[in-house]
Amino acid sequence: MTGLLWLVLAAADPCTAPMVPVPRSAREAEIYLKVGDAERDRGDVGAAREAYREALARAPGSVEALGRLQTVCASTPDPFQAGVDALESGHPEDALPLLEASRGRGNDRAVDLLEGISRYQLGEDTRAVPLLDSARADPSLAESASFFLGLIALRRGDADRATRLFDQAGRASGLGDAARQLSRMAQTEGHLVLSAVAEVLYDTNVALRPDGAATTLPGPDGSVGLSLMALVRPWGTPGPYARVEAQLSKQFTLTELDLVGGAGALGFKLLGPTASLTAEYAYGVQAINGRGYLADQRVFVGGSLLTGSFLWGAAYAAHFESYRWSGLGDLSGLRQVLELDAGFLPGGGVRLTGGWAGTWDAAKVDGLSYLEHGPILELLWAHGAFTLGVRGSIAWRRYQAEDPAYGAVRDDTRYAGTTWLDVALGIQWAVRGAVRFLRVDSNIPDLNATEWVFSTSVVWTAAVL
Amino acid sequence: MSCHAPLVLALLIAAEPATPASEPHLIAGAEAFRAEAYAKALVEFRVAEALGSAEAGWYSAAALLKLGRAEDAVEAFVLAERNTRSAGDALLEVYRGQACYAARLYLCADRWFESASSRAGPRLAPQLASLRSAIQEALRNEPIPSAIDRLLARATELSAHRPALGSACADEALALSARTSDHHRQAEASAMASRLAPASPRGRR
Repeated sequence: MTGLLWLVLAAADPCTAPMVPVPRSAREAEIYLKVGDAERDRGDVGAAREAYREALARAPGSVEALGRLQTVCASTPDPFQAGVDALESGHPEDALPLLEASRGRGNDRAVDLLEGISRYQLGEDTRAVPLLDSARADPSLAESASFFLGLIALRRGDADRATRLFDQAGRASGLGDAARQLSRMAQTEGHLVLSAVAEVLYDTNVALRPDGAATTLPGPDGSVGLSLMALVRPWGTPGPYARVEAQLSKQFTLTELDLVGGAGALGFKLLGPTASLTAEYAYGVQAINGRGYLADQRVFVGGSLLTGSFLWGAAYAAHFESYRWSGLGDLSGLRQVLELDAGFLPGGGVRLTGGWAGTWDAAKVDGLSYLEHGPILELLWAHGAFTLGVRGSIAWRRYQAEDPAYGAVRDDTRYAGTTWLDVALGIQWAVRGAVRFLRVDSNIPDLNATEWVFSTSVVWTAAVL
Repeated sequence: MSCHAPLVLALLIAAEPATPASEPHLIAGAEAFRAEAYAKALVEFRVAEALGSAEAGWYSAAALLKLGRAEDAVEAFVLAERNTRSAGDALLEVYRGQACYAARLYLCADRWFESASSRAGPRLAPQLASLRSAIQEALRNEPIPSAIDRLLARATELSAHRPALGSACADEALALSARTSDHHRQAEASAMASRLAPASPRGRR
């Protein structure tokens, strides 16, 4: 994307490009000289260089053409072009004063775009957002500006946090990562956004079988998944939105765990240059092996505030869960999740987030109800088309009553880690590779468990309107 | 065959209209434009203009837009129109609308997008509708009287050296003043627009 932008904004340097011989014509050489003079007087050194070079090609002995070409090539370059060059060569801090000097020539929105990109690269998101918003008002720059605004939103992690809380019900499905990508891609500009994720994964412990469990219980398996999403924002953002999602996961061998799911959501998002607030209601259902398994009504409220290099976030979700299988009815109840975090944006596309997350699951039976809390740490690095992330968390989970099967109150420590690499292939396509790890250490050793999940996925997203 | 035939053929060839000197430069400019080498395209179109091509002015304006020189592009479009009246091409009208938009001449932009819409195909039409809705949004966000003040100040500044661009600013101020309840500075805008408009053929006589 950035490379294409450079192609548009920069051109081959006529001061150094080899001269292509053309038939001599004194008259044409004279016209080129005049055109060069006019462009030089308008401040467009780039066009003047092109013109003088063509004049010299037609009149190789012309002292005038040679002299003027040498003069414009030696002169201080156009600050706009110099800013582009500095940005292209990886020096955004040098580009800033040059771009500032090029303002007031009728192309301030293009300058806004380039300064916004520079600020983004320097990690100054607070200052980048209004500049990119301004550039987005110019139709010819809107696509590039939206792309970088999307990267900033990604770095701010709004969608990440919401998805983490939405999909902690991922204990029932293996589609947590896919949903995270859908949510992220929903940041694409547009009134109607469609997304699809196709995923292949291998899970070493599909049903989180305890280490010492009988091998007849479900163990490792692979699966393919497909997630579809449509997001409607009639008035854009800020404003209300509606979202529908569908999920399908087909196991390679453990077909009794095949999953089909769907959800619909209504929400409202407020978005300013430094803050955002989202409120959403959603209803989702899941069926496993063709039988209705879980109905989940959820309410979500979350927001973020950017102050300097720090991003402060808070999110809360309440899941009203109803398990439909007769043997699982006791798991039904209210599950509430709260996450507070702070992100540090040191620049260079890096975001380091630390926080605390807690869950209070009030099931019908005390022995299945628990309180869980613990730290989370995430490191994200976005550079060009690549986003690399590592996230780890520790959660101390204590159940509220004795487990009659073991004669003790269960007390677990859950270690979770995820690392992923996203590669954007243009605006509409992306691929991702991810590895997820979960280790449960319980005071009841028979319940200790380990799970590794390796996945790769292809994401397509498009703003239809 | 008569022995006079070669002579007649030579005379016929000689009578064929010669390729205009500007044409190779128009073609070179178009190729550079396609390759996104807009500075080179601008130079070739300017040379074609100097060699007598009236249509080259429109393409110079498009190249100026692509170079980010929005005001220069608006000026070049005005001058091209004065030379050849109509672009006759929906895409050039879209470029002209974009130049006006980038120079914050929103009503000018809307006029050209509307004109292009009437001939736009199914791909371009929705984009133009979206651009026109963005213009309405921009107009809502900028207080009209202060925009008129800004445009008249700019027109005054440009009137001596760049009357074509000044004329575009004055026309915009005049159109905006008609949208205000008190016709904010309408008389001034009208006088400025008339002063900077090209002299009519009758006036020249």
